[in-house]
Amino acid sequence: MGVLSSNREIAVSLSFILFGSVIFYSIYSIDVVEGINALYTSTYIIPNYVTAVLFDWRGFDTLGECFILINSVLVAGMVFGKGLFNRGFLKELYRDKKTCEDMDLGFTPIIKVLAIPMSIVLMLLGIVVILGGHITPGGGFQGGSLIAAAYVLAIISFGIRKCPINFSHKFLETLESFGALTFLILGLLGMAISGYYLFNVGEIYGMNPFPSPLSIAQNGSLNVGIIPYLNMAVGLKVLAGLSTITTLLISERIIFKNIKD
Amino acid sequence: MINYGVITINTMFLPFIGLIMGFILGRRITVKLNVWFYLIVGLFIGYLLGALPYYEFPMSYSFLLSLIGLLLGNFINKYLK
Repeated sequence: MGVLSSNREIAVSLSFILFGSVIFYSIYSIDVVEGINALYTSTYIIPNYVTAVLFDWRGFDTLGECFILINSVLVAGMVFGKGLFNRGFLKELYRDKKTCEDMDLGFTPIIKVLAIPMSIVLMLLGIVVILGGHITPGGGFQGGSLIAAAYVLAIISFGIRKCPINFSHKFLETLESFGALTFLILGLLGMAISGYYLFNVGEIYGMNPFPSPLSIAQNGSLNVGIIPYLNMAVGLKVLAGLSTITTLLISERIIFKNIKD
Repeated sequence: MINYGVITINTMFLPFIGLIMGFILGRRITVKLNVWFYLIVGLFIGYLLGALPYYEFPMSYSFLLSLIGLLLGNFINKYLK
């Protein structure tokens, strides 16, 4: 446990130094270029204007949104997570000898029957919105929210213990870390190749980073660049963040029930 | 003659990623899903959704392959664990 925690602290420190210095370097030598979506705006491969502003000059904006979400998850965990992981303080506060157990929260059978197919369709729709984020209105944030909404629907219908969608703490933690780190590392890739953080890399050693239909290339650009990968990273991060907040908030009902008793 | 659209690596890369994401989510679903029901419903919804722009498919292959990945993940979760 001690070794694991020290390893984690070293990894966090290194990440903080690396990404902090990159962001400070970018701010110090700030030079607004066409940005992450240069291929899109210069060649008009986009089908509508909503897509044009989706990632155009907004790489940092999306990065900021990601950090806001991480902060909100941290704060929700600090405020509500105490009752989830450590229930001993309730006994001290309310002198209650009963163990604080979860209740069988859940709705009627009608809702339970409808909840699973609706959750699965919502999940798939979320995946489609994430995948089509570079050529349609939508993207990672919206798609991730849809998948989290499917989880919320299942958890409200069945209760947290009997929920058919089992997003464990470790799974959500892995997704959140993977999404955030992928976004940051893709930004570093743009900096390594072009000198600009989060630059849309069109090709890497002559290779197309994301194979896409030839009709996009016929419009004048080489390809769509790294934007689909950014969408996926943001989608996974938002899915994990909103699901974590849901788990933390739904567990608060246990505390209220015990206080009432 | 059914037109399946142009199926190449360039056009099927995006649906294939959908299959992987569906598989990851399907591994977290603990109940047994009725495969035929979801395939028929998925075909219908995929047809209504339509393909993404520039992907000249008759229906949303991303949706269909995501569904297949989800069902595959659920199958492995229930039977081969």
